[in-house]
Amino acid sequence: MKYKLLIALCIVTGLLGISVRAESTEFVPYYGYEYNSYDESVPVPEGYIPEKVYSYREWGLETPLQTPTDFCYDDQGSLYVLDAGNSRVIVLDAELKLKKTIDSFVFEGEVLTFSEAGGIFAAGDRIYIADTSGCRVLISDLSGNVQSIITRPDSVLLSENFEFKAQKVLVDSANNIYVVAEGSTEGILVFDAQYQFQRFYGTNTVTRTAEVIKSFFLRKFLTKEQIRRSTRYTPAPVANFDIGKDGMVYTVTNADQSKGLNFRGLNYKGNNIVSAENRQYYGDTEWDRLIRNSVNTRLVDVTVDSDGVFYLLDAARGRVFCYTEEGWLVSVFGGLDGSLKGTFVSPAAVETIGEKVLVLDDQAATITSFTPNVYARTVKQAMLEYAKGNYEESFTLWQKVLDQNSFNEWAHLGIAKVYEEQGNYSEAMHHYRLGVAQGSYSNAMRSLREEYVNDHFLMIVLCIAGAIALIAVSVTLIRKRLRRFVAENGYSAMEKPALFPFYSLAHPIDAFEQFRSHGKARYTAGIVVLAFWLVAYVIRFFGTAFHFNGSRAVDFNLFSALAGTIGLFMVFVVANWAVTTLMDGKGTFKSIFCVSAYGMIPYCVSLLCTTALSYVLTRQDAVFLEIVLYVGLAWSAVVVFVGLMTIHQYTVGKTIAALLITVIGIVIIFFIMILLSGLFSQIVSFAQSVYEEISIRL
Amino acid sequence: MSILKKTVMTAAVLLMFACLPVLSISGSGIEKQPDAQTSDLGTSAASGAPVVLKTEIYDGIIVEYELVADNGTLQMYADLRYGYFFWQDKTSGKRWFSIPRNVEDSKQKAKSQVIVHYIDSTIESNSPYADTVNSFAACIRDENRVTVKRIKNGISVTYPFVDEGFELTCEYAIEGDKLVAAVLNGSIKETGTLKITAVDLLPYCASAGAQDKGYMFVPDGSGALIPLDSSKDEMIYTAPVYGTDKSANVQTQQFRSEPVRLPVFGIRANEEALLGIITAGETQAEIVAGIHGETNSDTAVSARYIYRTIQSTILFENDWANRQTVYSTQPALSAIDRFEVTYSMLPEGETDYVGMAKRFRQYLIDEKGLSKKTLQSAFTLSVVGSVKIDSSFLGIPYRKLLPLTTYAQAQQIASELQGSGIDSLQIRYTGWQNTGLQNDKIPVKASPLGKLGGKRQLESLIAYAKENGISLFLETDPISFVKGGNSVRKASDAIKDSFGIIAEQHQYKRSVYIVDDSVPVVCLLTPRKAVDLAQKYAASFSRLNGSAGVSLSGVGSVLYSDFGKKAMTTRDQTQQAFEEILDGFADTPVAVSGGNMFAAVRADTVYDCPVYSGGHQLFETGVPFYQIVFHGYTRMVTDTMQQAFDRDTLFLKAVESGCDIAYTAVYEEPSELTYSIYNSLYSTGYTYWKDEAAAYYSRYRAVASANASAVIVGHRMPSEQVSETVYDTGCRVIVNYNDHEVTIDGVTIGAMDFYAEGKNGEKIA
Repeated sequence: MKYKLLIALCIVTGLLGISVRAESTEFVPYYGYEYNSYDESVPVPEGYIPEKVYSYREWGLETPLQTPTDFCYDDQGSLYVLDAGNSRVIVLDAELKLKKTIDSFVFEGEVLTFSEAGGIFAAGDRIYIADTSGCRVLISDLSGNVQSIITRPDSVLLSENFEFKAQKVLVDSANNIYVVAEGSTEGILVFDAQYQFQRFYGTNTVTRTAEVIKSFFLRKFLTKEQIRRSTRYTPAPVANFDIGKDGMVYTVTNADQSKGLNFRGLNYKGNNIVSAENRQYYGDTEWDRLIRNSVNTRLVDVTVDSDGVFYLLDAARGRVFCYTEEGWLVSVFGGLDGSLKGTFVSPAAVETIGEKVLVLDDQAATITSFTPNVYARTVKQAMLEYAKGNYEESFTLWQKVLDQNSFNEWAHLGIAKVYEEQGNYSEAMHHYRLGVAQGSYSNAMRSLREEYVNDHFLMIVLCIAGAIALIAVSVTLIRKRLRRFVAENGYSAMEKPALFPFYSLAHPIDAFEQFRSHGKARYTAGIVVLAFWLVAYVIRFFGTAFHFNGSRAVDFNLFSALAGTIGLFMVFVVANWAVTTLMDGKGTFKSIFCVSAYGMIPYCVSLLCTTALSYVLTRQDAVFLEIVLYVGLAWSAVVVFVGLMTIHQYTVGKTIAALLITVIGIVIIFFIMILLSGLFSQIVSFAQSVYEEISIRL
Repeated sequence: MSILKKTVMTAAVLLMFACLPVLSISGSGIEKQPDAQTSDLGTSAASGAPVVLKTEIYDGIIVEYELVADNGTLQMYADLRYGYFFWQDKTSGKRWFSIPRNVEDSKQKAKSQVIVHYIDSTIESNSPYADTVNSFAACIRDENRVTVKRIKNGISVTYPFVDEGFELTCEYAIEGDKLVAAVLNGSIKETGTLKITAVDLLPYCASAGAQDKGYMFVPDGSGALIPLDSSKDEMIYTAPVYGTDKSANVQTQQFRSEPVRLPVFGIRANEEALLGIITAGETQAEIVAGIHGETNSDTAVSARYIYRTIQSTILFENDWANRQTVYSTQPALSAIDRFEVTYSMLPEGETDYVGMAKRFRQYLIDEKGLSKKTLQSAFTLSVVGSVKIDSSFLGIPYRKLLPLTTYAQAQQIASELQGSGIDSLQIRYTGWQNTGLQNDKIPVKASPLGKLGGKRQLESLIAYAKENGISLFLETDPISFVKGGNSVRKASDAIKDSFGIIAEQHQYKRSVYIVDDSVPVVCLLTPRKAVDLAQKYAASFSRLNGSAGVSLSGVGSVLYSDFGKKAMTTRDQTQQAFEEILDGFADTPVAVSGGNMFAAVRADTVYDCPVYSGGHQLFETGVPFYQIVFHGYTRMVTDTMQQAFDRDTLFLKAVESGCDIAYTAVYEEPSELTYSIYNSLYSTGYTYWKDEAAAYYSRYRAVASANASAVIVGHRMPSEQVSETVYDTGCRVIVNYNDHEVTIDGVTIGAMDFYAEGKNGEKIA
């Protein structure tokens, strides 16, 4: 055996001597990206570079590996590769050079095979193999002498038809053995150091989606047969796991995005303590609309490095996602292709040795190693320092990150934090803005405001006093003039056509009464108000200060702006007109239009006021913004309500009833519109396909 | 039955070995025996001439080689019944055979001189039924159907594929010190329903046996080597020369690749080497290399002639129930007369990839007008003048021209860089004219942008560049556009796919690979129209100011055909059009990007020249073949540092291959860029990289300037991740890519560093 190995090694070194350069690459076939705060993928420099691809010939082995399903690094310089198809284990060193192979596993004189084994773990001087089809876990020493075998435990906790199809195995520092078995929805099986079954651990919970709740209620009415045939909502089984230095068990689940939480970190009790605050779903958040049953991330393995950074392996697109403990994305790399170095046919397991990331491909039977470049290394280091609260240390690192990717949001965040601590608030605000951190931006602004108020206290007081005085004086003057106008003409100056909408705000009953008596309704005035509304809406969209504004200029959509203002308004007017015509309302369409339009003035003004105020208020003072907005809204509501009551000559009760029916009318109009637009788009798409087919087939 | 067959076969093989000891000598199809005893072998059955060599290539099929041509340098011997041949160097006596000589009977492909790929579109299935047929199995094995005729200096062989219903003729002849093999396009006949898609010409001529040591060379990116004793299981590498055809609507894009820029390939087996150059029809060629295995009979590299392509489109894309993919086969191409590959055996001492590059360079000098130039190495500043982004004013959307670097600011950046020690500078100015970085319309007039300072500022920049020895290239894109205008109509002047639909060029989402809808769709201009408009533009450009060069970006990096019903255009015709465009700027220095062969031989500068080979699993290592060919003849610049996978590595790649380094520069990065389609312009603000650039430059300066016009005469890899480049100036540059220091020939080189010495051994850097 040893002799053979020597020959093999000679052949390998011989090969290396002849070949020009050992197989290595600096070319990166996949494109670097990450997700920004708006969950959009954005280009970034590639972070991890494929370094080498190893296969059996590099190790001088004669038989190719057959479905190597798992591997495990023991942190002592040995990487154990489970060559399941050949029922052997290959031991490599940290440089991925062959140490030895364990060709046979013997138990009480009998050679065991485990051609469909799914998992391996190595700790101390023991190797643990999860033999899936054999329904057992083998525990062996380092030369292949099997010491013990765990089979299906005899426990009341297990359901009758439960087969112990062990897929993955790991062992904690107290020698407790954790086993993931196929289809075990109850969770991970835990055995103690004496191989006795103890408990289930870390059961996934069923997330209460609408569908689950629906089925819960439905089940109450179904027959037993129907229940049996309907889908059962069981928790998604754990797919794979790893154990961190601190004894935390990290699990991944093949749950789809709608179910959330496909990655968890479990404490001793089995409770998830990975914060869901930063991230609910790990992996790709964008969808591929080209595929019907959309393939999203399918996590099959997880590994944690000594910094607590974890690497998730996505089999759906052959990618490794690298996150910090806080759920911050460090880097994404890899792909599903197979003919290019750095991509895989069927990625099965991921492991780290130092900063090197290894991915095992069970179909190509290769191990690909990746190393971080300066960019990924700096980002990772900076995130770790930042998470520890070492902002000063992370500052220079973040600046290095910006040199390579000036659009990195985390870098701006980290830099802003330091500027804020240094008291350089305006610079901090600038970077918080680039880092899309509204809360922190607001805090920095508050500090800046405080500083400003302290410095310019006297001036501000004087300004405010001056402004109040100015307003008081002008109000008195205007009042005087108005009074004089009334005295001279017998009606208020506000009742002139141009000012009439404003008059109606203060005296709705009188004003709208005049609609009938004097025919004062004016379409032009109404249209001007609507245009003003649209403008106010747009100004608010673009003009609101960053910390109150979740939307970006690129998100603006003229259609939805129109629909949200004038469109909605017109639907209301039409519905009200239709309803009140049936309900003996005296108001004409024109008067309804004008009443509703004039009534919107306070709301529109409040929109502008909140936009302006957003520059002096912080998020803590957000309640003031709301007050202003609600005052405007309430005023508008009152005016419209009173106005409608007046023009229709309704009682209060009847007005309320009419408004309620109007709401129903609005719903019906929407329904018809949706119906029509659906029909229309179908006709269009039909015509389009006919045209397409004709032009392509002919 | 099978046992019987096996025994017979084994016996046949044994017999072969016994009869012809010559067979067991070489595993690569190469023989060193100068002359066999002709008298012993009798006379040929076909012509009665003396036979120099007899080989049983298959059970019962004996090939008799007789002399068919002799041009003083080479002799060609062929079998006039089957069309097999070899040629021999008269001085060295080296021979090369058209097929490998000692493969077992089961590997029938390896006994073929032609493999035809075809599709059967009558079979209804999800994808067209595709298959291949080889000339041995179809025309020779059961009944000899081939017709061999003698032509001047060679033979012409007609292969009738009776069962498949097609026929084609190839010519094999010697010319000077080369063997020329060609598929005659006019001879291809299809009589049945099957349609030919591709023809592999001499697929196993450049082949090697399992025991041979050496490598195959493929021109992927800068060039790559595939070891003959590859540790890979069976795998095949194929790549189209000059990249994929852009005349297709592509729905998804997953990975990045390095296109083939040069129509060349080679093999080195033990001490022998063969170089193949596709000398005609290269725009319709694919380079194919494979390791022996189940489907690929032997380890070999060859050229494939793409006769037709198949395109697909999705019908009823939004209707899941009826959605289907339909295929279309393009009509056969008639624009080229012949698809021609020229093979040369390389002389002793030049049998490596450097020798191949040298021979290929000679071909470019002799045939393609490549000429030696006096070049100056320079740091390249790739300035982005402006971009057009989607913006809105009070909610009304419009396309906004966002200035990034004005002419005065470009001048300021240049002067600051010069101040920090970058004394030799070149500026590539993109987005300086009407519509910014990406054309909205095809430009027909070289008109400076008012927003960037107008004509006066531009002229002052040009004057500044002239005074300070900065060569300035103003970039224009004569082929891509977003919307019609300037006499271009999208409906008629954009290239179309074989369904007659406009071939839209997209950007793709890096996460899920689908088309990114937020990016405006780019169309490509039909070659004829492009020439017309480029000529107008050239006239206007020469009036602008004589001393600026022009950069014609895409002309050097993409190639396409057009299936528009009005004017079908092949890639060959597009190449001719592009050549016309390049020649249209006669008195102006021209730069291109990418560097396809026909563009690179005409250009003074190649931007984004390939320095990597594109990580195919078969590749063992990348080699700077491209640079060995062009160094001293064309100035080459790498991708900008912002696009590097790793900046130090890209820098060392530049040092290794003698390219200049580049940075993308903008004066300031407005935050509007972050959420625009130009979100990959990160870290282009020049303050981010100014110091780093100066540091790289000062490390590289001495070596680069000493060898700017020099020719690379040697390149090797003395140790793992270490390369050595030797110039004709005597300068030697050793680059260490390892993360630890290495000692080569007594010189210690630090991690990720390099060492350079002059011809007398004095250290330069």
